[in-house]
Amino acid sequence: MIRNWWHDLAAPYRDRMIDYPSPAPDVVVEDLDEDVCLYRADIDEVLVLNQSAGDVWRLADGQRTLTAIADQLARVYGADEAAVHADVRTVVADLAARGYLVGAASVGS
Amino acid sequence: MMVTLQVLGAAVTVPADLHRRLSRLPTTDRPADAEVRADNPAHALAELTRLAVAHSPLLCVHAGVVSGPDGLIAIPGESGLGKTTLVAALLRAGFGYVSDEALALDRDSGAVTPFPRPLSLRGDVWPLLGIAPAPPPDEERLVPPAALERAAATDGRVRHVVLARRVPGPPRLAPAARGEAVQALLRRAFNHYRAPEASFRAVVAVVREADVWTATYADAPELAELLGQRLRHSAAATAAR
Repeated sequence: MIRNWWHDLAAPYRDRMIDYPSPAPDVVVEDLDEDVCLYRADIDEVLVLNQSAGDVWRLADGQRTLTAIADQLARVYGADEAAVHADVRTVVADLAARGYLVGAASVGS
Repeated sequence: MMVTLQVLGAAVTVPADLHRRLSRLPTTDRPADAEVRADNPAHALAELTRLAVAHSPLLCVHAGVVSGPDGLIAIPGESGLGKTTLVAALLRAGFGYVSDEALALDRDSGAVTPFPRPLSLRGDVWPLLGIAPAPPPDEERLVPPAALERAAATDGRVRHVVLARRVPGPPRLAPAARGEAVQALLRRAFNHYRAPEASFRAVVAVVREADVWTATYADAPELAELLGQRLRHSAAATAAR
């Protein structure tokens, strides 16, 4: 009950926080097979994204909304839309929290 | 770089080719002076290595490097993980010596500069490697690579990255994701901070051309034998295509 209440209340803010994601300015990107390697020199960290997370990264260009990214991937994968939306939201939130993606998340919070 | 080397201890004999080996340290990009005072050749070598890496314009990664049937094999790892013993075992198994300490990479071309310093090996591993007469088990001595090598090193690019760790049991070798190698190599870089972005791109470029393996082993000669078999097979398969 409490969880549902929080979920409903937070939903619009959560969606707004991770909308229009784009790469943080100082992230260095290299493709490696299907994976994507990201490097942040400021914290000296390498992050390797697997193929599906890499697909999210490639579409996070600051022009697409979170919903548009998820819709496109759901079509490409032929997968359940709700599941893809949840996964995309998780990936974007994680990358934003780690400082690899910015957008409304950083600007608006 | 001008280095004054003073080895204070007299108990351990300096290998005859130490000077020649040290003269092949990676080149420096600026003049610097240093004075090394150490109580034995192993400590002197460690200090000289630290100086060479600190002043090298090359990207230096903490790794053992040998040459094999189809190129170079890099084995990243920190000190104390048995890297030198594994490299020594690989030399006994027919691989060529490039370094037991540093993968020295040109950031632009990916070319590898050999850093074939003497190998510092404890007396207890000498019998395992078939070299004699062994010093006391807990005493480290410098061993000239020529005493271990059965084949000369060949030039080449990094063709394999082996992520090795010691665990009980028989040796195992399995393909691994290239991303793991990028993380392992960059994490063990000595001097990537001098050009972080170029270093990252150089490491990715190297890994892109390489096969990546995870290896677990308890006995270095056994893993060396397994690697020899597997990489010869891999090279033969590549040549046949």
